[in-house]
Amino acid sequence: MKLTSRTRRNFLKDAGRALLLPVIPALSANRAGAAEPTPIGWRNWSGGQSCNPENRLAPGSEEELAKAIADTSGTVRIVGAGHSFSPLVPTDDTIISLARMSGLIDSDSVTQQATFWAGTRMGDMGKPLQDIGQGMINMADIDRQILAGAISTSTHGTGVTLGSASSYVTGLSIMTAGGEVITCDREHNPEIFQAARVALGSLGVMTRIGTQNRESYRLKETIWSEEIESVLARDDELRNGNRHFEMFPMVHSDMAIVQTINFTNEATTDTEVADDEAGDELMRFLQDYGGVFPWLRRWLINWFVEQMEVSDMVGESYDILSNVRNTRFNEMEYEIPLEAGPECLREILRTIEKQNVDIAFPLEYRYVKGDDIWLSMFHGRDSCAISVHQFADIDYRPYFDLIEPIFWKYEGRPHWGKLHTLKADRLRNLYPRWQDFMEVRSALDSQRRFLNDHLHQVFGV
Amino acid sequence: MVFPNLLSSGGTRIHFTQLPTFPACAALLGVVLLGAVLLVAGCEKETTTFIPTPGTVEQYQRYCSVCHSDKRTGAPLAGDRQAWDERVDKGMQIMMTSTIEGMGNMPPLGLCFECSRDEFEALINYMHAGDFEQ
Repeated sequence: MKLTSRTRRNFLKDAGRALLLPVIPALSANRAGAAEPTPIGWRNWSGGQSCNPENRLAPGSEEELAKAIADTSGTVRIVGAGHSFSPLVPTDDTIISLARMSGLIDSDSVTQQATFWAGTRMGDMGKPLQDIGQGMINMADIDRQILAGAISTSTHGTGVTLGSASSYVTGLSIMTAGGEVITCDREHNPEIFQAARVALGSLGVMTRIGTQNRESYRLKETIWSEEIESVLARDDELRNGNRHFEMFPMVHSDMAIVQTINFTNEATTDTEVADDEAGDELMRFLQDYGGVFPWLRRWLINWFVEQMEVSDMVGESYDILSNVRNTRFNEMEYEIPLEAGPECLREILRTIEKQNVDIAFPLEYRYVKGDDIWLSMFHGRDSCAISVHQFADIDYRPYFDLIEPIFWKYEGRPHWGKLHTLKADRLRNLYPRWQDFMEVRSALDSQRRFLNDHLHQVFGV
Repeated sequence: MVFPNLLSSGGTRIHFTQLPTFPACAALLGVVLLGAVLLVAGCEKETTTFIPTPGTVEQYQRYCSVCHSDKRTGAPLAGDRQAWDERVDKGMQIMMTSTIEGMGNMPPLGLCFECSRDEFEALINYMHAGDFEQ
């Protein structure tokens, strides 16, 4: 079996076609027939969060943004691509899209820095930067988010020497509820800078964001299958010997998909059209029926994964680092101390196995460099990021409720943009600069206009 | 359940309990002929070109083109009449539902959080029947 797709889980695609080809049309037809009209509101990508705000606004300038804030009352939340799984956006009052405030503003070829409008999609940053000889130092594994959203939630990729998107912010402008634009960096308004780089949109509205980049570059992606324990046995080597390393442990199996990405000067390879439908169906099949014959499920997954053979892929950094995801899901992710990663992963896998959880989604296992940002999940420690996923149309709570306490045992911090159940009483103990952040927050937003119900609980105000 | 759905439609199996009568046969023939005429008429696909407003073009470029002009995303390309025919034939209501709720990689509202229903419909028609260079 020869796989060449650029999406990470596409090894399932061919396997799915072989096993389930006769089934897929029937399933697809059923879903299409189930579609019902719905009123226009807002919902996130997974469909798990939604609201019907009184105002949906899209200002095209800082002046229009100030007017939008001044002309409305109640809660204001900024919406990006809707890729946060946690309820950061929902409000009955006003949501503001920054989509019309996008693009490259200026750049500096000496410092390799650039300034973007805050509504710029990450996927629209790579090419303009390449045109001026720059490239983002790292990216998340999808590029649909807008820059402000990625910064606000400490969105990250993988690589133990590479920080989150927030860690590469050199300065930013933020509009307060009163319409004042405050600029900050390490020298000017440094406390606001430390708070604003990860603030869940709770201080005001970011309008301009400066980023530290590097010279543009090309990357080579290599994917293979390997036993989970074998990967963990050489975890140090893989983590430190590659610019990017991540693993997708297959639950109910002994196998993992491993991905490394490194610099290259090789020629760009072809990319393929994204198509995850068959993989989706295979995972659903395994999830629905695999628990009936656990031994068969293990054998089947091991066999499929062992058969995979994936071509290396070479491309511009922004093409290699980003992926297309057509299968909708909900996700929980915790960042735990780097050294605890392997043991935490083993405990999660053992728990899923022991409880015979009906889940087929692979886990995701990555590394991120620590930083000094007050509310960054990576504050003060290099971290291991472990994610669990569930299909968007299946209740995630039984599965996530089972796994979340394991993360707590390992001093995990929940990803701000993903699902978790922690409130202020526990969150404040995870962040040494929590109180400093809260003081900046209340100084900039004393009327609490940028807090929705979720953030009231998160911050305990 | 996957496999039972392959054997039945909505849980109903078709049975013939008696032979049809002559009037029934005549009526059936009429229905078949009418259906054939409608089928032939239906095969004449709409080929007119949709003329967008400047606002629709701007919204397409700002939002939709991100995916609908990039074949790597798997989204139907704007102006690919055949790809859009398959979807539009399902009806605008289903198209609107897919737009509002999102579909696959496509985010809900296609990232256009300020778009109205009319604007979404214009965008769909533009990508279906607009003049795009392939």
